[in-house]
Amino acid sequence: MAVVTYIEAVNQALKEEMRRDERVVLWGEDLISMNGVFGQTRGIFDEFGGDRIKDTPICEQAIAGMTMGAALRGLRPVGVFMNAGFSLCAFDGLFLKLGCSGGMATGGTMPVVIYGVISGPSDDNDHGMSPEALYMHAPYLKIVMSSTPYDAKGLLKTAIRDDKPVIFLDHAWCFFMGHKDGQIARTREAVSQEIPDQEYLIPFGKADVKRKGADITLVCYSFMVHMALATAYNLAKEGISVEVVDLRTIVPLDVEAIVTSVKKTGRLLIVHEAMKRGGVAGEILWRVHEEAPDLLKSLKSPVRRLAAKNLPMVPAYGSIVAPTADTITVAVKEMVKK
Amino acid sequence: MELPSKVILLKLYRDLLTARRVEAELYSRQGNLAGSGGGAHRGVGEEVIPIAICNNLTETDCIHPNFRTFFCMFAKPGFSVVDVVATSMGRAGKKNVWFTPENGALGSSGTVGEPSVRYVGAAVAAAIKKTGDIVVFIQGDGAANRAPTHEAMAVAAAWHLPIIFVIQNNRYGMGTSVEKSYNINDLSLRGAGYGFPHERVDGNDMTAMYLVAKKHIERTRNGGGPSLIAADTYRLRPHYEGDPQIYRPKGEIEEWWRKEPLARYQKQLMDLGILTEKDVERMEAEVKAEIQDAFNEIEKLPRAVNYANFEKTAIAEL
Repeated sequence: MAVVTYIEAVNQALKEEMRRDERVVLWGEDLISMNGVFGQTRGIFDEFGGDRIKDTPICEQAIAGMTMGAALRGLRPVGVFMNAGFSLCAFDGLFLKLGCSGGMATGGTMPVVIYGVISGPSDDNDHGMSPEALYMHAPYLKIVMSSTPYDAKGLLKTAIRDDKPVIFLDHAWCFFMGHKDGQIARTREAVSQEIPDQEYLIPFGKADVKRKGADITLVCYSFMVHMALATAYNLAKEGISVEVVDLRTIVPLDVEAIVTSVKKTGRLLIVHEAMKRGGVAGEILWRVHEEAPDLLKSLKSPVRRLAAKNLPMVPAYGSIVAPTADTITVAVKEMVKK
Repeated sequence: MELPSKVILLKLYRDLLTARRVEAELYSRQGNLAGSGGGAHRGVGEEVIPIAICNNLTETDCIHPNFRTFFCMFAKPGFSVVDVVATSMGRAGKKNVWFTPENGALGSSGTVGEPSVRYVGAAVAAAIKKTGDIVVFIQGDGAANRAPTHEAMAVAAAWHLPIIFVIQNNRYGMGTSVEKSYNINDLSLRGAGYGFPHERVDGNDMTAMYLVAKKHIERTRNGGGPSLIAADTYRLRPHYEGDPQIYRPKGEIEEWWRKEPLARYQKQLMDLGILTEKDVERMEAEVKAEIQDAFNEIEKLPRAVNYANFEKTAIAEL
């Protein structure tokens, strides 16, 4: 077992898959010249050369659209967006083509990964917004949002091996911050984790219970997992037992894991950083309702969602717009009322 | 200008004749698909551009035709008239001329110009895998103003990719004339900013178009990188059948009918002594029979669209 940071885990996943399969290629802005800005692509050019990793001009529609053409001609490209918000420049290629018509044409086969980084609420809206709900609407896109180094590596390797298009959204806060003793911590330790030396993959559609609890189920993903775990740590001292379910993949969605947990706790709080209206939380609730309609009638407290207010992200107001450990704590206490 | 061989000149004539006749037959069989006023988008008179290009390609080269002239794809090695007819009539069991990746047809888009970046991706694959294949992306003058086509050219230039961009300038993007949407007459100038060799050609002149296409394709195949061809032609039909064409100047269509390429090329070959009235008569009969056979063949084939299959392939949860 070796201890790696989140960025190192992503870097390892890319390198291992590129060693395993010479059809895997990467392109995006500043992947070579700035190591992908955060360091995800460090060392890849030196090991694999300029055919396998390419710096693009600032051409998001090309980054996206080229993946489809290359995949149809025998490659397995990873198109990298420095910021997930920038991928919206290429919404035609990603949504209408990879997400809709491309899948219809091929019967679903299109081995493409679109990787993007959400900067989070400390950045402006174009860099910081979380676009998963937009992509969730497309019939042929899988959506992965990881929270830990272990998960990031296993999920990214699975994404690259998947024959269908996968949108893989990392969160920059996971690169620099984690949780420690009930606090959000900006330390190397907080963003590091022991991972196995031997290869491992994490299947899609399997949520991970990051903390077991009895009083309330907190469904979340991406950096909100750390917010939730910090909250759960503190509330345990007050006698409130929070179960934290990390979805890992938004599509496919592990409804069964949510239902199983809520049957146990009797309460459901869904938390995401993206804006509330039209967000993933609404879809999750309906999926639970469709899967287990009686469950919602027997809850100890009505289902709630915590998400960003329906406002663009502005750095100065970031902490107000998106959920935090504090607002999650308040919501949980209101629901549990011990 | 040294003319291509007689064999090639006659093959080009035969293809042009086939294109004109198969398009007319498809239109008559399909009707106008009317209902809400939207009808067929016909490409009569613009056939020279794709045919001249396709006759310089291999089975594994990639090409994106302008949507109006996709029926010319039978001229691309790897495809046939039956494939064009089956695709147009929505039948399975033949090659879809819009989407057969191994023969270089990678699909298109209702948002014109967007597939340009996809075809650049195919050129990346050709370069990385060193297949020797080249890519030709044909788009209209309307599509050539769209952002993805500029990004496609920017990346193709930066990476020196084996792709040729062709602007099939039929003088109208729907109802908006090229004069209203450009401040240049020579659309090939768009290539200059990307450092491409660029050339304007009369897209209604078969021999000129063939020789320009051949030159650019050979250059790109030999590692010369991307280039741009602007081929001038004219959209003889409305944007869609039923379009009242309030935007057309009086007499313009009639003037361009006098320059349409089939009669023009036929006259050129007759003047050269390569083609006779008798040859034309024989070829008309052959082409008619070939098209009839194609329609007979596809009648027995099942419908291509099957929504049950789509449901099986989408992400299972809905």
